[in-house]
Amino acid sequence: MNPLSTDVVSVLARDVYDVRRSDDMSLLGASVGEWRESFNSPSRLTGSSGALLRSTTGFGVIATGKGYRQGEALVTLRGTASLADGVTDAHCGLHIGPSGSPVHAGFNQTFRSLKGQLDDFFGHAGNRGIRRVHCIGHSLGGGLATLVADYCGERGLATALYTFGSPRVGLFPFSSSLTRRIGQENIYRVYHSNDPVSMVPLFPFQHVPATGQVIILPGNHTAYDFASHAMQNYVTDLSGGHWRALRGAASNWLERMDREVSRWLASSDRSSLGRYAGSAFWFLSLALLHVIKLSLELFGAGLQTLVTMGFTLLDTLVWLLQRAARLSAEIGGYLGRILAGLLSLTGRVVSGAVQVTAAALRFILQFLFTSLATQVHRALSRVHS
Amino acid sequence: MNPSKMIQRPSLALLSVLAFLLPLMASAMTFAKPLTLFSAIDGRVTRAGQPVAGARIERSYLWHWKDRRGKDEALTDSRGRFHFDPVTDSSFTARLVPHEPLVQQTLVIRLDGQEYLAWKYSKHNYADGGEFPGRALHLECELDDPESYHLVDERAKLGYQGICRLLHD
Repeated sequence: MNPLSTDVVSVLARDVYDVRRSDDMSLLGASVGEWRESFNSPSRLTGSSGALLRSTTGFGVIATGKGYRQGEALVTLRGTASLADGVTDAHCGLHIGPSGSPVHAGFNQTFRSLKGQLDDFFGHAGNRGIRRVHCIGHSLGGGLATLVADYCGERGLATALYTFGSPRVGLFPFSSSLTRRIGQENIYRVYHSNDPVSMVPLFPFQHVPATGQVIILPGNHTAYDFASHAMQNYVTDLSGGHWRALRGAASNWLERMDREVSRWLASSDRSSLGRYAGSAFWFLSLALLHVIKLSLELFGAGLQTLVTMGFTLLDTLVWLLQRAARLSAEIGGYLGRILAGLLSLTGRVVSGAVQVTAAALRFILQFLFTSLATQVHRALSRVHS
Repeated sequence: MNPSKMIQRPSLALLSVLAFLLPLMASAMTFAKPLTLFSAIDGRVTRAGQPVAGARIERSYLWHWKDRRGKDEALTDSRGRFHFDPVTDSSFTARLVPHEPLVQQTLVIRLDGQEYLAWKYSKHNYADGGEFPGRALHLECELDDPESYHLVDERAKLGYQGICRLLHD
């Protein structure tokens, strides 16, 4: 399926917020000529968000293609713009989604308030010739676009999904079946490595695509930062780019980071991890994964007995890593480096060897588990320019 | 339509929300920093190149996070000039809850019973001078000019609608 250009997709994901309180769409996509050239005037979609007091507002637009986009349609959905939307985001119990798999409850409720309009649109006599649909969204809108893509797939339409800083929408069955149905190559998931919204809700919620490439952009700001979630930054970072090149660049960056992690672990390089800016925690998480993998290979045999002793996951990991550090000087060295790296990021310079005690390991693991929250805090306490 | 089954995972919901909120509550002082909804904006109104005095400029905005609308006015002086100070506000929740900032801005010129759209723009941040980063908002508004879309920043895909021209500094 011939994808929309990066500029059309990112600009629409940003401009669609305008329709929340009015149907004035004069600014929508105005900065990208291709939009008006290839799509007819859009219609506004309304939806509800919130909890007990749900409010109905404009949530997106839907349009049919023309010229070389004849037979195509496009749906763009907006993300969180008001407190009611924020409540929707937080409501992450589980509902059954469009194709029968469990999905985020809040997103699903808003989706269901849109569904009647989608039924009307696709059921309309003039739209029966539509065979391909492009679904676009930022943030909560990315979650909604994912559900719309699920809905379109169920209707037998060829579907492309483009999301920016999207949270996770469903569990593994949802994400794997949607990926299979619409094809991983038709899913364009764009996110900054330090965009906190793309990391929630926590496991077992899972992202789409389940397999295949994503477009991860290195975060330019320090650690987790809401600026990394702002849609304008996605517009600017993608400007003039092409999907294939972006996917390639993202793949290359991930491979490079992986190699750098291996190299860094084995070196005595004391330079600050701050040079990775927004990707520093990513880097440390990868490093820890390397060490966990290595430790499991060498010392994982005793893990079963821990279950009967009532160990939590955190306890188990601490046990595993401490045992590995004691029995392997190499692993002990790696853990020391990770600890020193973490401390340097929190502003504490360490000279000399770092003791890898159970307490130190617990610190590393808890820090990385809660670093999302800590860094959000840090980001907000900086001057927000 | 099948009734949907609801599977509650309150611990997951709580954990995700807490992951954002807990450490943020520690630092109340940070939320005192004001949010700029509309940066300072000024301009000159002309007709056939001649300055127009006494034209009424209406500024209005809609801030989506709080659904707050605002409106104020200015009159052009003898040299056709007008000026508006920045509009700022503050919000504890706006600093706390991740969302997409949106302030829809409008400037309308009223003269002799006619209405002219001077400026329509959607601001997606709370930064002072954040409309077009690096550019102060100085407008040149010729009433005979047609209303059109002005692409100001090609890379960032940012522009505004209206009859006025945004001057370079």
